[in-house]
Amino acid sequence: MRSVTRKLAMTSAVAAASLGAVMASVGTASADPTVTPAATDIVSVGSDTIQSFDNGLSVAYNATSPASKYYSWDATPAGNIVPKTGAATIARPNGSSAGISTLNSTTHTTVDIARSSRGPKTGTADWFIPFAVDGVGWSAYTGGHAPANLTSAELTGIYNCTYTTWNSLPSNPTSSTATIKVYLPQANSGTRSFFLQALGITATSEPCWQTATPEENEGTDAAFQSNPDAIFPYSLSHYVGQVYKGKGGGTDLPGALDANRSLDGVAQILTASQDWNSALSLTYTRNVYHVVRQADWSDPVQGPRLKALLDRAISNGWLCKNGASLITSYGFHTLGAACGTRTAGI
Amino acid sequence: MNRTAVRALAAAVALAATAVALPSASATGTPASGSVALTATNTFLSQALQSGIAAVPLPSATGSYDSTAGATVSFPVTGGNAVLPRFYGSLTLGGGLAFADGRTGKIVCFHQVAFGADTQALTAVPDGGTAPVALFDLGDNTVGSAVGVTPQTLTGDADVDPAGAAYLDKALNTTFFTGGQVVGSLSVTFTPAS
Repeated sequence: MRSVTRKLAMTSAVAAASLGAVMASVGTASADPTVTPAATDIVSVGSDTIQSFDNGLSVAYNATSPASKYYSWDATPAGNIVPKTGAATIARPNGSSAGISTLNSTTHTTVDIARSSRGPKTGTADWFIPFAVDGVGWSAYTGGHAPANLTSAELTGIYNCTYTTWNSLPSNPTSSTATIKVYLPQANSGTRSFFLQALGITATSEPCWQTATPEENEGTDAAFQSNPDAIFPYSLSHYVGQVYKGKGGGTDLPGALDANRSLDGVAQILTASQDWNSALSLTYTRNVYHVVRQADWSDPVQGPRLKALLDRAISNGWLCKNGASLITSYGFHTLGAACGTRTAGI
Repeated sequence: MNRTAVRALAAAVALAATAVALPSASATGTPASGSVALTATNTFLSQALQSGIAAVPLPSATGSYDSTAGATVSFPVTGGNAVLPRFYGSLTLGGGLAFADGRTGKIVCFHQVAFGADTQALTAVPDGGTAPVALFDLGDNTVGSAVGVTPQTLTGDADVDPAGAAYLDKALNTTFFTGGQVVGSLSVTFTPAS
C-alpha cells in the first residue's frame, strides 16, 4: 500500500510542481482573504516575513479544493479583524510573537495557525512546524555611507552601540564620520528577535536604536527616505522575492534600502542566480514555521484539517509534499525531508 | 532461520567485529556523544522472520529486546557536525548492521553508519563497497528539540528507504523489503563535542 501511495504522491507532486510554476508566474498573490472564511476553514495570522508566501500558499492549496480551505491574514494594517465566520473580533496580530500570542489566547474558532519567522521558546502549548529556510542579513541605504561588507563583530558593535559612526568600524576607518542610524523592526517581529539573538544581543533597548520601528522588510518606510546612514535587518528570502521574483508591491519593497551587501566577506545576495547565499553562516539562517496548538493537532476534527496542509510529505501534508516550487518562487530555500518536523514550544 | 544462515550470520558477526572507533573530540574538550537507536516492532520482526530475514548489530553497535517495544539496535555517536534542530550536517556512528536471509543463505554487512540531519536518513556502506546506502528514514510523527536544547534530539517512525529496500532485496535475493515500509521507530540523541 505504501508503494502505491508513494506513486500517487509522486504524480501529485508533479502536478503540484506545475501548479507552483503557474503560481510563480502570476506574481504577488492577494493579501487578506477576499471572502469570509468558513468556520471550518483554516486561518493564519502573524509574521510579516512569510505573509506573502502564505498568501500564495492559500491560492495554490485552495485550488486543490481541500475540505478545509486555507486563508492568511496579513500583519498589517493595524485594526480589528474577524478571521472567519463565528470568530471573535481580534486586534490584527503584527509579527510572529503577536501571532503566537493570539493563537494561545484564542481557540480554533478564531485562529488556527500563527505564521512565525522565529523559533520556539520553551513551552509545550504549540507545535512549531518548519517548511522553509530563510537568511537574515543587513540592509542599508543605497548609495549611503555604509560599507559593502561588515563583519559579525562590527554588526554586533553597531547594534550594541559600540560603533556609532561609520569611521569607528575597524574595517572602515577612513569612511564617513556620520552617525549610524540603527533601526530595528517593531518588538513583535520574528526577524527582530532572530537578528538580535544572532548577534548575541539580549537588551530590549539600546541608546543608539532609533525610536521609529519600521515594518520589517519594507525599505519604503518614511524613516529611510533621504537617510544615507540607515541600517536595518532584512529577510534575505523576502528581499529576493521582492527584487527578483515579483513578490513585492506597494510598501512591501526594498525602497531606499538594499541587502546586496556582504557579511563576514560572504555576499548575502547572489545576483547572478537571483538567490540568497546559502554559504552564509548558520548563525544567519533560520527555519520559518507554521505554529499550531498541540491540542488541535491531536484533535480528531481539527487535526486532519491541519495535517492535510502542514504534515510531513510521507504523511501527505500538501505543503511538504507539493510546495517546493512555491517555496523557491518566494525566495526561500526548501527543507527537503525535514519539512514538517515538529518542535514543541510557544 | 536455517542452520546455514545462522552459521553465516555468526561468522559475519565475528569477521565484521572491527576496531571500535573512538568519538572525536576537540583537543582539550568533551567528545561528541549520543546514539541513534533503531527499534523494530514485533510486527515487523515477525514479518521479517517469517520471510527468513534477520538483522544483527555489529560492534560497537549494541542490541536489545523488549517484549513490548521490539528489538532495538543502538549505534553510538563517534563524531559529526550536525545541528539537529536546524536539519544541518551529519553524525558518524560506530558499529554496523548485518542482514541475513535464512532461505537464500545470503548475508550482507554494513559499516560506516551515518545519520544525515538534512536527509533524516540512516545510511551505511556495505562491506566491500564505497557508496553509502540509505537504509532507514525518519517517517511520520517526527519530533525534534529546539535550538539551544542539549542534548539535541530527533525521534519518529522509522521507514525503510526505497534505495535500501532495493539494495537489500538484491543482496539477499529476497522480495521482502519495500520503500516506505514501516519498521518501528528511530531516535537520535546528540551532544556536540565541546
